[in-house]
Amino acid sequence: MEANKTFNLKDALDVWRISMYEKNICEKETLDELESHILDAMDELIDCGHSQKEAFSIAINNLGNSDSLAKEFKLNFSFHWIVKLYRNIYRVLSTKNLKFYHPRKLIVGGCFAIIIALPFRYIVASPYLAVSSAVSPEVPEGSRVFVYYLSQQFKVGDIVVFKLEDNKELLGRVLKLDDLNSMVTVGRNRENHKTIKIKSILGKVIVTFR
Amino acid sequence: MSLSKELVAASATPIILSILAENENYGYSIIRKVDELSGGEMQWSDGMLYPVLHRLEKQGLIKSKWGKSETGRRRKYYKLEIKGKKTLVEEKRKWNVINTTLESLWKQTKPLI
Repeated sequence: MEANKTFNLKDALDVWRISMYEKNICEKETLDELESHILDAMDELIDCGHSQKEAFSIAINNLGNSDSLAKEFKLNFSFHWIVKLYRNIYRVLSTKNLKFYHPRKLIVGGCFAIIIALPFRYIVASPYLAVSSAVSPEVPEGSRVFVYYLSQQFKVGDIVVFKLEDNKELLGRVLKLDDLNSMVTVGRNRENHKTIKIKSILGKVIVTFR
Repeated sequence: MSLSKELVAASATPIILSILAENENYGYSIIRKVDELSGGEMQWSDGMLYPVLHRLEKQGLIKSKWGKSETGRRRKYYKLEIKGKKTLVEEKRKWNVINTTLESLWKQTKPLI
């Protein structure tokens, strides 16, 4: 009666492949080459008298530090998908002889809008229209401004957009900073100065269009 | 005696290019040849060799293609490209500079007992 099950090379190689996937070494060509290397090593060991099972263990053990391998291939892999994605998008958009409103172009364009433009407008910056002359002459009535949401520090003279308790969004001039209490005093033309929490400031005006 | 990681890494390119200059070759065979030529002092692992081979291929110095071994198994062979031949000439020149410098220094100093 055999103490061990008969060694199945194919199964053992499959298990090895899975362990490679777990280390993030996933490209088929790479794994094929490494497998071919293992088999070459095994041939020589079997010639020296080892059994197939022994040869396999030794060959696997002799595989170099897979961490450096994984790092090397991970680097390539990370850029690989970005390059592929960019190439595919470029290829679709630059296909000649497509009607201007070709569905494929619209879909890719639409996806771009959703994936890139919308988050940008919600998280980074967005345009606003100044409907009154409350912050004139810095922001004349009727002009558009770009408000940048990610600024943490404000200084006196900045034009900011802030929210009041009634959820109205207003433009204002920073007049005084009270860092100790995290409060800011903002002013608008022909209105009383308001002292608000820094948290109520949504963002800073970074550019004005007439 | 084990060679430092830096020495092994620095010498990998000229060694690989030189081996491929003789004949096209595959990974496992390159490792065995280096082991043989170095008298067992340099035992490259696959984790060290294959990333270098792939880098050299990306740089256009060598080119790979899948072929068949004597037993009919799939094997990836590498061969030297023209750009690689030129690089090899450069590498030989660089290593000769180091070699000549060390040789002349060691000729001057008394032999160490």
